[in-house]
Amino acid sequence: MHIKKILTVDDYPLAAYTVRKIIEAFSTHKCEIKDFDSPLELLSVFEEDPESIDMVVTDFEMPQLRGDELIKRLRELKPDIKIVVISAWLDSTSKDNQCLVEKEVKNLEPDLICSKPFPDNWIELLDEILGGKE
Amino acid sequence: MGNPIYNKFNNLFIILFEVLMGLLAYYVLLFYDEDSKLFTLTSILIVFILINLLIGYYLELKDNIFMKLQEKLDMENNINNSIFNLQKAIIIVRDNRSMTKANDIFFHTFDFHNIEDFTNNHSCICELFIEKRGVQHLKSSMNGISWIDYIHKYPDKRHEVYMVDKYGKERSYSVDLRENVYHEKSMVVFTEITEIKNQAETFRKLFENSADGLLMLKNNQYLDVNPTLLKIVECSNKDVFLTLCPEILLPTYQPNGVLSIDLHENMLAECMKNGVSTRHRLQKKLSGETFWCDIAMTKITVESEDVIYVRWRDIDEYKELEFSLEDQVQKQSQALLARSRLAGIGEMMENITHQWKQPLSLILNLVRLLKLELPNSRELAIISDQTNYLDKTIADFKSFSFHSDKEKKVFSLEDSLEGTLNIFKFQAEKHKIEILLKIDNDAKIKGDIGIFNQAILVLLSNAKDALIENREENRIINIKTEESRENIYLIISDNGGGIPQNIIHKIFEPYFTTKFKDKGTGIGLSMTYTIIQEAKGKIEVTNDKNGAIFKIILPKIKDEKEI
Repeated sequence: MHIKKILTVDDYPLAAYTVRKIIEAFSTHKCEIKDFDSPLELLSVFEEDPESIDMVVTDFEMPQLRGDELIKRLRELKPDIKIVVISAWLDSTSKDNQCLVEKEVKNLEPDLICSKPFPDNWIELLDEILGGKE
Repeated sequence: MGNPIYNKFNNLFIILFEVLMGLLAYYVLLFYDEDSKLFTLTSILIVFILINLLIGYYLELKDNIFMKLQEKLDMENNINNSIFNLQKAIIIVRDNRSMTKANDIFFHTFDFHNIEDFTNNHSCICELFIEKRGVQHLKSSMNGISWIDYIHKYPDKRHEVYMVDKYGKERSYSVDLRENVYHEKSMVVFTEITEIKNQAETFRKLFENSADGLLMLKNNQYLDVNPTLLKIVECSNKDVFLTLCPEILLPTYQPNGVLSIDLHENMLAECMKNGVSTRHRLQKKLSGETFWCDIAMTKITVESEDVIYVRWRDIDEYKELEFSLEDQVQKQSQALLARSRLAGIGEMMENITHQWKQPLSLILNLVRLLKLELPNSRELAIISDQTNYLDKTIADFKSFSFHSDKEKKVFSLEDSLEGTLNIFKFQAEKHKIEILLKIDNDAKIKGDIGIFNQAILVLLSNAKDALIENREENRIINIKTEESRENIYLIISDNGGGIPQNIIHKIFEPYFTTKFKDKGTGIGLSMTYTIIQEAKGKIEVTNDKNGAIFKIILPKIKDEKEI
């Protein structure tokens, strides 16, 4: 079985760590995951060998680099990179943020959008995307 | 030239003198001798000539002086006549019986050529006097005595007459008498006062017919009052009014707590100092009823006496409007403030829910990881349950927005009630209130679910308060829905005893509250009312034997695409 290479980033380090642990624990795929608390760090690792990376799981609102910019750069390097966006803002009722972020995230056409707290089946969804490549 | 009498006298004197000289010469011719005859006659002739010359010179001198005196007299006469005629007042000269002289202005005003023209047609100027109703004036005969005798009898009285001039215009004059100015002759002076009279009359008319209440005040006593003011204070008699003192028409206190009499005195002082003083103040009618009045005091000085002219305007209506506007503005600004506070709370809630999501999400994920290692741990299950409960509560709060959303969305009534009851559950349990929920349709509403939830929560919360206050043992809140073709009905009732009939129509008014200050602001139900109204719905309230019934009527959304 091909080992899936996944990079994940959240400006809240514990969050990225948990995402890594969850995927490692529950994914049916064999995964090699690296977690970052800075999208710039993730980008520099990604740049070294874009083709080897299967998926990037990223937060959206990050101070160093916003999710949209990160995804744009990733796609420049590898157009078919699988993207999962995680955001706490997604089902927020605060209309301003909700509408803006929701629209922005949707416009990016990621492979999967997850809101925090994660839905129970999110790992299955993630697995499907990963599996689709095989 | 010269006086003919003097001339006659002079001639006689000269003839006499000449005859005397002739007789003297005759006597000399008869009795004197030849020698002395010639000498004497020559002497007489010389004396005669000399005396004649002297007389001639004297007479000439006398004539000259007389002529000069005459000229001077004529000139004086002319000047006097000119002065007489230049007078603006009519001056007539009378002897005991009739008019003997008048100045030009008299002839000019009444179209007579001269005194003869007048006396040919009239015997007395009093024939020109006219009578006027309602005014005191001189007539040709006053109480049986002639007008001139009447003036003579009452010299200190002000006498006035009316006459019609050659153009038919009525003129008024004040009349003065100067008696015995010359040889039993008297002078009557008619000074025209038409203009002053007209002004006075205009003023009187203005005063009497003004739409404003007017009065004159001197030394804080009423001098005069117009009918409008009498009407305002509901006094039927002017004379009665004039005996009143201003304090009677003032309530003891003004609404701001100031003693009315102090205010009145301050105004008087201000008016005396600055000439005017204006205020809106409460006045009192004779019936005791108070009303708002716009008072303007103006100081006028008449014959060096200060009179205060006071204008009253009944502004009760405007004042009422002003107060209700003020009240409205105040209520609106309070409502705005309350709303902005709620919006602030909403924003805070928003932030809290966002901040809590991250750690809650982490905990749930970590619990999941731990479950792999301890699949049968009861403690982990509890942590998981409790965290899920927290997450759910947060989600409910989150939907319970305090923002007013411009974007209306379609939501189901069921979702709304579920969210609201989740929040209310704690209160219900605490106060042992049973909630009977019966929703048997999937009705959809267009609006902002957060705002709508808030409206429902207010109703639940009020029901709770009523139940607690009423010490009802078996506390129940009933929530049910009904529907018709067009509408959805949400009915929330309780058994808290209901709303007293005398206030039931007021409960949706902002700031109407029966609760103590620390418990309620009176904003809740009015906000519910507004929210339902904004959702194009209606809210009605009635009582039944158990308690209050609130019925919310909302238009049904048939197709979600309708938005």
